Amino acid sequence: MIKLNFLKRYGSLSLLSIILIAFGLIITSCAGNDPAQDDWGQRYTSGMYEFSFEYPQEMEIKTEKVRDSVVTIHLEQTSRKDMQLVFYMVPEVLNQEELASEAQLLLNSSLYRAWSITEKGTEEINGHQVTLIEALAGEKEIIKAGTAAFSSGGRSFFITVIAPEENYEPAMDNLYRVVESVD
Amino acid sequence: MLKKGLIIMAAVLLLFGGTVWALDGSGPETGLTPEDPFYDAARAVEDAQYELTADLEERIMIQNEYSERRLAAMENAGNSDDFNELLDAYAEHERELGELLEGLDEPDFDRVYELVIESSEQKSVRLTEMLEDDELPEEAKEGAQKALDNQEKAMIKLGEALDRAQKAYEDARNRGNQENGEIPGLPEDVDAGPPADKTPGPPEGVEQGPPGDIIPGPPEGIDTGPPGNNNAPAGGGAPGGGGRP
Repeated sequence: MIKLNFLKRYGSLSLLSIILIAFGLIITSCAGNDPAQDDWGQRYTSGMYEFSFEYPQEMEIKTEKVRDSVVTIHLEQTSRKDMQLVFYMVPEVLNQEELASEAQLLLNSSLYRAWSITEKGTEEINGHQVTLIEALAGEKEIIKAGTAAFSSGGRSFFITVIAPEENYEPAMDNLYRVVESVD
Repeated sequence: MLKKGLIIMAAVLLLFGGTVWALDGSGPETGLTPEDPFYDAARAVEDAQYELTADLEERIMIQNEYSERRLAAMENAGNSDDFNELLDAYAEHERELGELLEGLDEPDFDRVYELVIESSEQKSVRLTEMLEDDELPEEAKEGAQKALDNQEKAMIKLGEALDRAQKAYEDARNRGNQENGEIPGLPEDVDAGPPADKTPGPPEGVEQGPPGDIIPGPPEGIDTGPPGNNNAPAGGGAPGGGGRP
């Protein structure tokens, strides 16, 4: 009788702990698959124009151009080729209207068949008043692009993420994180 | 009642006021030149879109449009450095386009060839006009002449490829007809019937053509543009261009 009580008490406790550990492992593995939670160890630093931003470990700089005080950095995913990012900096402060119209011009002049370009309004991210513009492009395969534009420290930044429609949400998570990391 | 309708319409317009429909997928008709601050960023987004596109036909259309943009920008280039940079980019698009077209051997892709040939003819005309421009520096003229020579070679290759594609299409159609003829009891007049569906049609996703346009037709049939996409080369080109080889 004593033995049975012991098993009841401690057996159920150990079962409970196994369930909790398994649950913890599931949560950890799910979090590991979230692109927003990936390793973000890499940081781009521009010595000449004194700004920096962080980007995911799984992306690398494809091209970098500096011309007339303007910096363009094109990053792409190394493992999966389903997301690319274009970081663009101009050394002047633009107001909200100018940011929106420049971002639209950028998307409209870059995307093949930009079917629609939508201004999504402004959002405060990391103290920056960020204008968000989205575009749909393509004919058979729909590509989505989102641009976050803001002015900070005497400069304006345009950060564009571009991805197939089905991968757009995780790509936007990355965009927000890049915006947050701009110093 | 009318007043109520107007109020609702105004509310809808205000609600969707933030939406801007792109008038033209190619952006400014003049094309961005290297002296434009957005030039590099726009090129980077172009690259990104191209690399994220897997469909061969769409990749061809993208390269064709990008080369047209570079050509348009060359016409507006302010100096010979910009002109040469654009010319290099143009040559790169044309080279990529040629490689992509070599991969196209499906019989129903002949309309893509036709469209690209039509576009190539227009590009040749524009390059010739540039050569006749007295204000163009001699060095830039040499580059333009080279581009024109390449364009003409590419057109010959394209013409040959189109012939091959058309022949392949005819063969496929004849084979299809023979197979249909062997089916016992199949009515002779099958034009509008199910066998017509077996005929290779336009590639999937190009549903914007007329509903009955199953057999590949003239280039006009691929007018794919959604509202507002009135880009001339990709949107079907000049109305009279469909009869070209």
